[in-house]
Amino acid sequence: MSKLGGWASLPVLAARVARGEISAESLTEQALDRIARHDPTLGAFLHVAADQARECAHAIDAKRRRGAPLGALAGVPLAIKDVLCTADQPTTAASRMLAPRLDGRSGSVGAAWLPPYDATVIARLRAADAVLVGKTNLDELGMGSSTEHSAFGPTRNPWDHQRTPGGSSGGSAAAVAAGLVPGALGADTGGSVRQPAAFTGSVGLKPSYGRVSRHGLIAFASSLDQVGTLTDDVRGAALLLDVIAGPDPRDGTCAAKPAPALLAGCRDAELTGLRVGVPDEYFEAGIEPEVESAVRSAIDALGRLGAQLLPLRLPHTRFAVACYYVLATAEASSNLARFDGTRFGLRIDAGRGFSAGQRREPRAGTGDGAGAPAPGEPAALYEAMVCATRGRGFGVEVKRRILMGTFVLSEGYADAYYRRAQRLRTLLRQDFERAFADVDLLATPVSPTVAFPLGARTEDPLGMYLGDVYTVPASLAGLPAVSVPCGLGAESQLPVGLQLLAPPFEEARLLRAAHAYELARGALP
Amino acid sequence: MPSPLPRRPRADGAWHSTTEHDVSRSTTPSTAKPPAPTVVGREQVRQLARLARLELDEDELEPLGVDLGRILGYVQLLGEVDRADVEPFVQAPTARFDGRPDEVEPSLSLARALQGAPCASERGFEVPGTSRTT
Repeated sequence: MSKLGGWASLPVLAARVARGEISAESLTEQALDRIARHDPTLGAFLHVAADQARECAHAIDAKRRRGAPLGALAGVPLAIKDVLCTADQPTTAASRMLAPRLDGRSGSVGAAWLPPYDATVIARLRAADAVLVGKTNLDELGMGSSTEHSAFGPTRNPWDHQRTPGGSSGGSAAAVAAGLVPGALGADTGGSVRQPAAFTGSVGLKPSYGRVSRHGLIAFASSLDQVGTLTDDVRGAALLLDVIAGPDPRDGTCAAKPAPALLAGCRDAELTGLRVGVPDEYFEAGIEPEVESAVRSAIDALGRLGAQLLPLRLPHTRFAVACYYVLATAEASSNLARFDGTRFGLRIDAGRGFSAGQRREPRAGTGDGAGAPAPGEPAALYEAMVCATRGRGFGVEVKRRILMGTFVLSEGYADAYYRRAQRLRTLLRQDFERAFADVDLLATPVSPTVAFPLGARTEDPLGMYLGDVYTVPASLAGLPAVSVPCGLGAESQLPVGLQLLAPPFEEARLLRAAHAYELARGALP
Repeated sequence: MPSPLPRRPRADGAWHSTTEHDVSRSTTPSTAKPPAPTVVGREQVRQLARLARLELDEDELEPLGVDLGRILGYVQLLGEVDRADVEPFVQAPTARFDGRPDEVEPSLSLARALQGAPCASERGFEVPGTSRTT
């Protein structure tokens, strides 16, 4: 483990900067230095914005010297998953589609897309005086569970460089776990914050669906996507969510509910009276014994803190992965229609821009359908450009999901797949509603395994999907969920995550309990 | 919504090379078993790619077909619990934003909106076949 340590919790760092005990510039230099020294090995960052970060830190220190009040994240260096739009930093979603001159694994972003605006969460971080040091690696467009499906090459797990950090927010998780930055934003569609947090020993929070604005988040599956946080501790997650949560007129799916003060609620050291459900289905065949053992020990610790532990059933859990991979791919196939070579990123004009030896006719995806425009007509030229751009711009996992989504939405199949999955989603939600009538929180594992070796699942997409079995149910039900490190696997000596889930918009309850557990657990190795 | 897939098995049997049946039965009500494509053939991958406007190389067709077949085979699981009396879930009911006043606010300048385009004029995005560039 190349954990560098040395970062205090986010609220502590911000308070020290606000009091003038440490400067934003020194924190920023510390982060930039760690990135320069360690990221060539880890590959967590796609872009480091050293100049902008230094300017920003300088301005924050000047503001403090003037006596102006500083924001809640004063001077704290943060990393951002490269799926959130930043107007001053390239944004690629780890896709060739937005990094047209990407040169293989050498990793130069080249002439990558520069968004015309900041995502709402980015604007809120800036307004809170955070320092954004760079953009982190991910599975292309958020599609994957290992950060290996990045057009820039994989990120490595700081605990074992031959293993994945999980995904898709693997770059953010590795950056936090290795101590390059004290916090980062990720995004979670089916577990993309929680699973990498578990694999790297970080705290990963996925808020309720609707808690955080998605304006400026590059969309994958819009009924599931949420911006989340990766931090060293629960109080850091609470502070980040305090800053980014809340209604946004630019996102109609962002709930009108005001966000509660979460950091202020993280103070209890005991859980007397809290009812914690432990669903049988999350401990069935497939879970590694060392993961089960670590998670059950953590649940016992909740009991010792005063929580009442109640076994229960969530009977539709075993259908969740099938449900998720129908709905998420269906939504992705629609959302990704925007990548058409017109408004941003890559364009491959038919007949131009191809390297030698590539055949033009006939190719799948062009002009063989009824009613297709004749070759040479303006509409045919446009169509050929769109098909060629998408064929060259997307990586294999994205293509797989677009084709899958196209299939499940196509006439003759939508009833048997898409609508069936929508009904299953109702049953999954009802499972949780019934459970939360009897308990306040649920406690489960995050992943059936610890971090797996690089390359272990890249040739087995279905095997990769099945690893999401414990994270997709909360996504499908829109629940807030957090992954908290609960020790190391006895055999592998790799981190294991405890997942806590709460009813929608009960982040305060969720983080209060996660914080109490963290206090009782003590420092990790 | 993409245009329809063919409603009958193709002559080469590509869609269901191991499980032969009439795909038109896939519109059956939710109590029936869904179709069980365990192998997705090259021609069907080609057809899906056309619907998705995705140009694929010939050597991509077969591996994608194998993967799609495995994934579609797995999601047949949904047929085991399907109940026609359950309402499909569409969107989280508590997550609706109540709207905002209908007031004009500043928006992106044309130049900024066009800054990331692969090809643009002073008037807007340009694409082959419908612009002066082609």
